[in-house]
Amino acid sequence: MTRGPDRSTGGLRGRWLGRIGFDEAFALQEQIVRDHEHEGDTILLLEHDPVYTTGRLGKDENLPPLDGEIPLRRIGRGGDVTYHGPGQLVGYVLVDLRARGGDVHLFLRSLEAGVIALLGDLGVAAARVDGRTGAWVLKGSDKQAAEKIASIGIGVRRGISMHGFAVNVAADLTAFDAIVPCDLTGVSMTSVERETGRRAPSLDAVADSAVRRISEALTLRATSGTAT
Amino acid sequence: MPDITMPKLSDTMEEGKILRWLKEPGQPVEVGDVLVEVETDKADMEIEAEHGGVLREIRLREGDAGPVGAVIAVIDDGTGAPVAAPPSEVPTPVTPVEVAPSTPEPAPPTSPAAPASSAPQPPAPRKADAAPGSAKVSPLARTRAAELGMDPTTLKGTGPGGRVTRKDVEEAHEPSTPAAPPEVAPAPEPGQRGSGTVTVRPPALHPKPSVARSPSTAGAGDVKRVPLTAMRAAIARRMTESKREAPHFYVTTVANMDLAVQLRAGLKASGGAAAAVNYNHLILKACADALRATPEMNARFVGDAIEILPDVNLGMATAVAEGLIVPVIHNADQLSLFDVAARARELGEKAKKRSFAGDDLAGATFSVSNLGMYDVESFVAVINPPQAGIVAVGSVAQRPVVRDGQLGVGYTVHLTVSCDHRAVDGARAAEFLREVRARLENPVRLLVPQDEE
Repeated sequence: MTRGPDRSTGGLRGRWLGRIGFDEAFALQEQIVRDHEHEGDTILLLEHDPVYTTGRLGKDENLPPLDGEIPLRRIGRGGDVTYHGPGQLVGYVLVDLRARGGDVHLFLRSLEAGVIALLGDLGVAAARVDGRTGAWVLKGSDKQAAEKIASIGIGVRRGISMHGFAVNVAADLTAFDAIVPCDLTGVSMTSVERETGRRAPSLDAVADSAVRRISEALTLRATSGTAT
Repeated sequence: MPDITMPKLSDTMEEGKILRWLKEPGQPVEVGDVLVEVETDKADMEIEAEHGGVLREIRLREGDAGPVGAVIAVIDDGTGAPVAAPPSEVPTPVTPVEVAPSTPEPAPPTSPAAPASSAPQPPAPRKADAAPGSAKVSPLARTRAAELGMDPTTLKGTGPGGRVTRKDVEEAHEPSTPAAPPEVAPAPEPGQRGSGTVTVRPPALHPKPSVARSPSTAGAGDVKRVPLTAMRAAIARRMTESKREAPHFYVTTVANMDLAVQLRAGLKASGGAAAAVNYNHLILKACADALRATPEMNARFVGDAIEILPDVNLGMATAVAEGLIVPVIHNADQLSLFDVAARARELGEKAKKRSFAGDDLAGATFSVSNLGMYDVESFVAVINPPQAGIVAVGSVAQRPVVRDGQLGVGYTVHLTVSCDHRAVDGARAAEFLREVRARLENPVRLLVPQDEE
């Protein structure tokens, strides 16, 4: 995928931003949400410089020791603390939810489905775990023992979604050790590379696949949503 | 007045949590304004107002969860002229409002036939002066009147332009229950007592503010009575006693937490008991040691003397579902930081289960209240009598700081001590805060036993 404005897939415009600081990407998200009428439904794909983020009600005790090396941002998305950094594909999904029926849980489930399909493309069999939004790699039959491979958390401003998902592709997972990700004590994180045991494709190649999978998931879900 | 309810943001949504109110009671609200942010699952949703008016009341606080459909706030759009006071900080125009008399009036003498066996006819203070049928009636009032089997057009409206509101209907239906309960309704002034209605100024502007006024007394349908639990009754009694008896004063300091943040990181990395130490524990320990250094703060006023107390027993204000409890870390100055942390955690667990033993809740000489986890910068606490003071702790967060004439960014925390002026003075409180701050800014001192300092 090339940098900057890119092709559309099913009404969803994908843009690969490469590696970018959190604040810069956040400003871009805000701008697109503000000008959504002109920008249209957009998905930003990127890789962040290391940063911890937490939702507005994220618990202090889950936060990293703040040694100043990795900044922390408290942002308007659901969920508790998580980590973003190199090797992780972040997707900001900026779409008009009202035009898609406005069901926020359905939207979260659609994102999950898209991310799980994407992981399938990468050779990882991931699954949903009820009550734990995200994508998980099951370890045996105990769902509580599942390892998390992708996180999902969104915000909705004036009917437009913000934030989205983060998939650990080749991410350095040690940064997660400093926090209690998503307030899930005892949860381990994993990555595509750890699961497959081989080098993953480059993030911009994965980003291509992500636009397609998320787009499909949102379209399919929207259709099945109206059917019910 | 339209209720704002917890929106159903999804077919599968059962409850939502209030993240943030963007409007405060008393503020005007226009249709489309973002009122509140609600969290459900992993989504934060901005909720926009569907009605314009004035935000009258917030029913569900930030951080609290409520089921779909629960009333989270009330907007006054003018359809239900409130008789009860709006929040006192909101000035209201001095328009006289009419309230039902609290004593039933005798039936007018013109009644052709006095009822013999039945109860005296209820007064009809709201009979319209205008010809029946001419009154304007709000849709809600019409619905409510139909439910009650009444003709709303015979009533006198108190809404804009004499519109009959739901409240008018409900009051007329139950005239023996005045809309404003006696304890919140200011007494009508002599001479104003008329034949059917009494004109009073809005309570908010009444020279003698009445007690215990609840903004939710607006109409019988809006009021949800929550009987006091033993805990709430105790809070009400003790906090009132505190504010009545103890002249409070407040002193605030800002401590730089850069080293404390580093210390915590180091402790966390070292694992074991050390990893469990959080900022609250550091602050508790710093307060305990500072009380040892300024013993005059560890005191109580007893009427004819001030007692300086030998033990430093720290009360730890702890929010629980039904209110607030203050378990006690006894001899906190004698405990190591790790023991303070372990005891604080243990008491926190006990608070969750409400399973306190022995003197877990007794004997505090001083208290600490920490709202840092709610992302507040600072606040002031009410003293828990007979203690002489309480420290209110805000969040540890990155803020602008000036170092050597340069503006930079550092971690800071706001500490505000409330003191009983009968027991201590401002200078002593300032000394105490200086001692707390010195320890937080050089937190290695918290690891070193007092004697070796």
